[in-house]
Amino acid sequence: MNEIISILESIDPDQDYATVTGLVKDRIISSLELIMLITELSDTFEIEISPEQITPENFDSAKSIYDLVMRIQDGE
Amino acid sequence: MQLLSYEFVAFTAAGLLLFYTVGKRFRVQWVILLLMSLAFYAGSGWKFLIFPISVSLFAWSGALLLDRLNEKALLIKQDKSTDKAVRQERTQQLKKRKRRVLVLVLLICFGILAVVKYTDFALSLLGKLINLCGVPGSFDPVGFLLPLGISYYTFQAMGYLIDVYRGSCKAERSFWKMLLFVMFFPQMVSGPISRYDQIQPELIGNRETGTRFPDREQLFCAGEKILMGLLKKLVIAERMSGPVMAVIGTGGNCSGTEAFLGMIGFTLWMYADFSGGIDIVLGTASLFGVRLPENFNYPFTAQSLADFWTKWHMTLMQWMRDYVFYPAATSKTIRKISKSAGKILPAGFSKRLPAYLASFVVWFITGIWHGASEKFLIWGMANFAVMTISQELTPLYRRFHGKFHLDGTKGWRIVCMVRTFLLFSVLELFECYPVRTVFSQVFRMIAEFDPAGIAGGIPAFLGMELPECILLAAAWTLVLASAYVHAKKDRIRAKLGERTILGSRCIYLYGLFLITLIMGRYGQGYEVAEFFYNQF
Repeated sequence: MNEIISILESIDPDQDYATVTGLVKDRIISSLELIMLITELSDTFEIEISPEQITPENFDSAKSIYDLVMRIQDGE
Repeated sequence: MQLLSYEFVAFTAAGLLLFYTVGKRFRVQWVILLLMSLAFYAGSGWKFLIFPISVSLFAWSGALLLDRLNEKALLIKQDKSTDKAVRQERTQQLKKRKRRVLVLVLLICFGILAVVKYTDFALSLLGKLINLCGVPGSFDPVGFLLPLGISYYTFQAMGYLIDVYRGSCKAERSFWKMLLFVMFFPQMVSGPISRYDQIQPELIGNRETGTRFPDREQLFCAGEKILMGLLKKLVIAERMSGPVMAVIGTGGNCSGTEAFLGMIGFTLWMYADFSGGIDIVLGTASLFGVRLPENFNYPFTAQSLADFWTKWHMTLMQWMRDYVFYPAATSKTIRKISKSAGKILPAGFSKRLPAYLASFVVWFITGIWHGASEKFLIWGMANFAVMTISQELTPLYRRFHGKFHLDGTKGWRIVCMVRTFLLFSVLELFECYPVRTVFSQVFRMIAEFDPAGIAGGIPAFLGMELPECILLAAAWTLVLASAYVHAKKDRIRAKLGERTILGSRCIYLYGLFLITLIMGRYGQGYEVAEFFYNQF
């Protein structure tokens, strides 16, 4: 979880990712920044995130991103 | 049949009568809509019906096949009696089959669009390439007539197909219901591009009750949409198109003041024309109980160009995001290119490269979607370049705001709005003029910038006497005021009583009607111009 938060902070340091929600739904991060995040997550955790998984539900908070990473690592 | 014609009014009125009487009684409302859509489309030439019917047929059959493969994949996943490795192998095989079906249907349907829309452009490019090699001559254009709405319904149908491929919606079993989704008549002229799972339930209607006649609130909203659309088109856009096209017609051979007014006028005219048409479309659709998605979200409040493109022509940009940008950015090809580039480029930049490469693809397609010519391609690339440079300058912006603490202040928000408006308008010049002319025009606008001259030159630019200019300004004020009230409607509702709101709305709608009736440009001997986005 801390790793995910530091990746988010490297893209935009102005948010408190421990508490903020609505990252995608409220356009706190742009589509471009979302792809940068996905690229970092893929490289850091050695996972592949498919376009179908790029949804507000999966990327609206650090927690939901963490859950997605765990699910993919468990073979979803 | 034009959207703005007495025929369309009569057509819609007759359709509504059938829809809420015979259609509701026998639960065939969707059939009425389908027949209306076929009749509307046939009005532009019955031979062109082959295009949307073909696209619907391919999308429908492809989606059914994909749905069956999805079900097989699910059964394999749930079958715990088989070895995991065997299950994975079978799933991979199914994935390959699904991909082949998807690619085949995409190639066919986009191929039809490409042939009809881009053959002459491709021939012209080929001719230029051959000339560059020293061989004289050119190819005669084939001159295909562009079927109505082909860019919109093809994208809409392919979006549906991709959704079924991804398993995010089930395939439509009925070809006729599929045809209705593709051909629903209000959106055939200039969109919006809808998603199947969002509008299909309303298109088909409730099985038990059918679609009920709109209640008072729904009628108010529909009336407001349609009347506001008519005001934007007949009062504002029809007045501005002549002067704006006259400046574009000079090919850049005009003063800095004229060029500036022409540039601003083009943006405002395009907004009034396009959003006006969309308002009429949304209002008309809602009379049949179908809520189509919005295409505009106060675009001139955007804080940056990237923000602007989340508020203007939203359904096209959302389509590009979901079906081009995300798949391209997460594709193995682009990831490989980025990894290779990472060996020679700075580490930070190579991590942003997938996003930039995908954005390049999006703006390439968006450019040529708008038109089969170099100027639209250059326009797309210009937008891509500005947004990429802006993203790369993010650390600089952060340092600036860290020092001056302007971010979030009202003044800075206004500065950003004006900056974005001007940036969008300058980029639009690429759609109107050759590239060389754009740069010389912008230079002239800056060198000859004269606020007093610009303000004083408005009546001459518009070719109107001062009173009519004031009326035009009043119409724009009404558009802005309406947008403001919409944005604050919950707060206004809480402050005023329901009776006050009802009375105000009645006066407002009557006012819109009267203004359009008196000030609108229409009627005997006057031909209302087609909507600008109809040509795409």
